[in-house]
Amino acid sequence: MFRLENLVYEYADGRRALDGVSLQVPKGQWLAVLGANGSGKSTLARHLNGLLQPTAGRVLVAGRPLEEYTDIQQLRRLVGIVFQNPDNQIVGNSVEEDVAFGLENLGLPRPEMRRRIGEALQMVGLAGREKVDPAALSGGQKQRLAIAGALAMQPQALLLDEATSMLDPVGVAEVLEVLRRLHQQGLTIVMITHNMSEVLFCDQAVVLAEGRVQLPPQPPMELFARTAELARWHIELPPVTQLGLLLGVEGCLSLPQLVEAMKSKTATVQR
Amino acid sequence: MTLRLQNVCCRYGGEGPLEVTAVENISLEISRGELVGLVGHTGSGKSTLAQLICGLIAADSGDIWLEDLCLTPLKKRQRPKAIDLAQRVGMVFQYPEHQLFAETVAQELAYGPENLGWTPEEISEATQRLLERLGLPPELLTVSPYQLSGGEKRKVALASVLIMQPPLLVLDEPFVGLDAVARQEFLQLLLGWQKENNSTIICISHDIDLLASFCQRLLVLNRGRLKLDAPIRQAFNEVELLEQCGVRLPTARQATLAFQAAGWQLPTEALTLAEAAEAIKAAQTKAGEQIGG
Repeated sequence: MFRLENLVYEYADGRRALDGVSLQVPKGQWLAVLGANGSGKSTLARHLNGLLQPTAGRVLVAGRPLEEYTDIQQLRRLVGIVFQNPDNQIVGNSVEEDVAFGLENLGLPRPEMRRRIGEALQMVGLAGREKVDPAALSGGQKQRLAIAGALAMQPQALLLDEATSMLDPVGVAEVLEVLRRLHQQGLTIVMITHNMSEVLFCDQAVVLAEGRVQLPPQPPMELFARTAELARWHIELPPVTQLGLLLGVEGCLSLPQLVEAMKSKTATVQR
Repeated sequence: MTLRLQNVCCRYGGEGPLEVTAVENISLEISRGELVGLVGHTGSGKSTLAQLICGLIAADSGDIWLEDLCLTPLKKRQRPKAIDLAQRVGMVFQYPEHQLFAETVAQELAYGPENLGWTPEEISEATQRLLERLGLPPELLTVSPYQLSGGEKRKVALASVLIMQPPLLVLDEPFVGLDAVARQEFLQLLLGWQKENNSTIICISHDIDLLASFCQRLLVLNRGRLKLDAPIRQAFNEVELLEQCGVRLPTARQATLAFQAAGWQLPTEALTLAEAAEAIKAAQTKAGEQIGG
């Protein structure tokens, strides 16, 4: 779905936010992008739907280089993006108006719009709330609404830039559940996050630092066993994995797994 | 400085069908120097309560006292002056770096103290002391706050509040958007400053693991009501209540409970991962001895 070749992005003052990033995201993959503040994560995501243009190197989206998308709207339809703050992304006075906003710009016929709005709201679990004022929604519902707005455009990929960081645990769980369903249906998802517990849902995770890929995409379980490298790039382990290490168990991703590991460890000691 | 709230209510949307009660009948007392975590799901009233305490919005009924200063007088013209408030309470909002506005870091830091009538000498002395405490180089003073890195911006925004040495500091999600290392550094700076000033800290956060690591007391709000006010270790014993309020248990507590459920005998009051690991190790040794002996 995405292919980055030696991507460089330079600010006006010559500093490089991205300094030669090469990365492939196959269709249907759920990829987590990890990195400390200022590592280049958001800059990377903004290249994937043309919000930024590379200083050097190439970005291919659905097989075509970025510069071939003369109609930027076409690219934006292909790749939806959801940002951090739910309150900054909502424009409509009702839930359905908000989802309709992007569709109106496409000039779609009414029945087609209705169908797409219905489907998108169904997908994020907001069906039946069409007439509700978005201001009355919870944080998790607002982010799901933002996702619905992107889905109505029938994108092939969804980018999330710390989309759960302002939500409470219930809201985070709601959004992750929606992403899980979308992933099952084959949507490509690129998710920037500081919350390591979320990474466990992803297929692969990549670590960015100093504008470069420092640890290539790999399954979360493998990544979280590379403790020394992660510490070097300021990546925190999930709390359960940290606890596991304190108990001498490596790469542990859930409490049941930790309990089992400790049980067998104790049994071994006893033998 | 003691903070006292008695039967405080706050509503939005005027009287009528659109009226929403954001904070309902809250009474509590917080003594100087306490470290208090304030939690609850989105819309539970946390931010409204924080703004009431800081005098940013007025209560509809009830009393709020910051030591000798009443924030809820009967007559409107007796409302506290901004200068009296600023000497007692500081508030750090979400993404405080979005509120930076001055041309240089020095001007940013001087803004509050100038309004409090400090002399330039007092301001310069306080600025230098604070920069040192926050680990920021003095060269930064002449730089535009917009040129700083994200972590530095957050620190300068915090410093612009800390410089006034408020006896009460209220923080609304101060750690959001910081990576793991920056988060710990920010917390340690905050706690170092708190110790020096013996200020009270009320901290709103969804990061329950972090709150468990430094708070002494936990307040839980649900639909505008104070559902729980307890020493933090005890607070997490209220498993059902917390679940109803959408507040999860710290990982350490979840872990000890999971081991207990699996038949291990161990205390479950852990707040930090280190405490949980200790308890689990002790239980492991004990189990080994029983079977081995």
